[in-house]
Amino acid sequence: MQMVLPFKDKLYRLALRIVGSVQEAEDVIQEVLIKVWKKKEQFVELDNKEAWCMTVTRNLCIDKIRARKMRTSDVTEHYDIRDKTMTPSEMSVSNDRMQQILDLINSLPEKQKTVVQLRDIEGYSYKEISAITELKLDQVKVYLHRARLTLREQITKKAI
Amino acid sequence: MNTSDIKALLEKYWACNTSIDEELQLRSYFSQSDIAPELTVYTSLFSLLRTQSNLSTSITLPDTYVLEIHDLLDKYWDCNTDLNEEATLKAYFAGNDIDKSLVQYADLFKVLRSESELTAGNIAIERTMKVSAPAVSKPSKAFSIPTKWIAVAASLLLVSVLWFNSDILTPQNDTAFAEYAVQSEEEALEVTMEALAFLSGKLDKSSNKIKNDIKRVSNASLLK
Repeated sequence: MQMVLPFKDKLYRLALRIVGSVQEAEDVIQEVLIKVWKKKEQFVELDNKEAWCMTVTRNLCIDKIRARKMRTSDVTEHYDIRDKTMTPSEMSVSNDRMQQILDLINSLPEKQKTVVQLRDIEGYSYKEISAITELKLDQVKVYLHRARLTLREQITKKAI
Repeated sequence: MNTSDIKALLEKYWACNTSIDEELQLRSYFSQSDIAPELTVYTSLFSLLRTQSNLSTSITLPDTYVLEIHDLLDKYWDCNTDLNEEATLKAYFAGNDIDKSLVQYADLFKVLRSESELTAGNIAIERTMKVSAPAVSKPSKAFSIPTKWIAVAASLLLVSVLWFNSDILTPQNDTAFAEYAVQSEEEALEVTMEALAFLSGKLDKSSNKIKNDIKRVSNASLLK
């Protein structure tokens, strides 16, 4: 179980990105940890434990969304996105912009959103993302490309 | 890095051709205060990506005992638990400190426990109280006969009935079936034919009745 600790926050952030609420994300992480415990013999043997946990997290999130027909776009009330290094006035303007971009990311289709999370926020390689999402390498790039295209278009159009 | 390099890097980024290191360079560039005016439009995006990558959770690893309960539950669903293990599960779910990951099973074990605590004694006491309560609050004024005199009277009645109808006690003669026995093949055939004719008549009668009933139902205006 201790082996999960180094990437626990990454699992949480991925869950939060997909399910959209702190409560749900924490539930998912609990489920992942219990799954790791139940499969402890096999888990120890795994080469890439982090990728395995990320895959399990994503699958559990998708199950949760399907089961509860949950909306994933409204995450703004659940967590604070403020950059603590800014002055209050800068923070207010920047918060609005950042909030709009965050809403934009959260409104992307699940696969695009997940790929953005894994690449642009967590910094995984395309190969690792392919392993985590069980998508082909080309598909990963296609989804990421579509997501970045949307972000670029929206950012420049609205001049966020 | 000068502005034109950053612009070129940005183009690579949008085309998904940047490496992880190049993306880190972009993040680093947009986290500083000296950003070219034409590029400030992207500052929020990279600030957001940076802050999002620092989100953390306070979730701690589940307690070992909780994990053991999960193991026991798996065994329970597979019907591999012994009575002691099931008692451990019941005791855990009877407590107030149930882990969030196990809360969904608490009701089941509460029901099992409450059902196991039902006793016949309680039911008997409740019924006695229900029956005796009105008698205590409202004493009856009706005339009553002692139970033993009722028993004596009932016995006398039974004896006298048996005395005057003594043939009830004597066995009846058996029906003389021998006189109805079939003596020849022709007679057997005749009897069988009669029986079949009787059965056929009954079947005709009942099928006609069903046809009539169906006709009446289908003619009923309520169903149209």
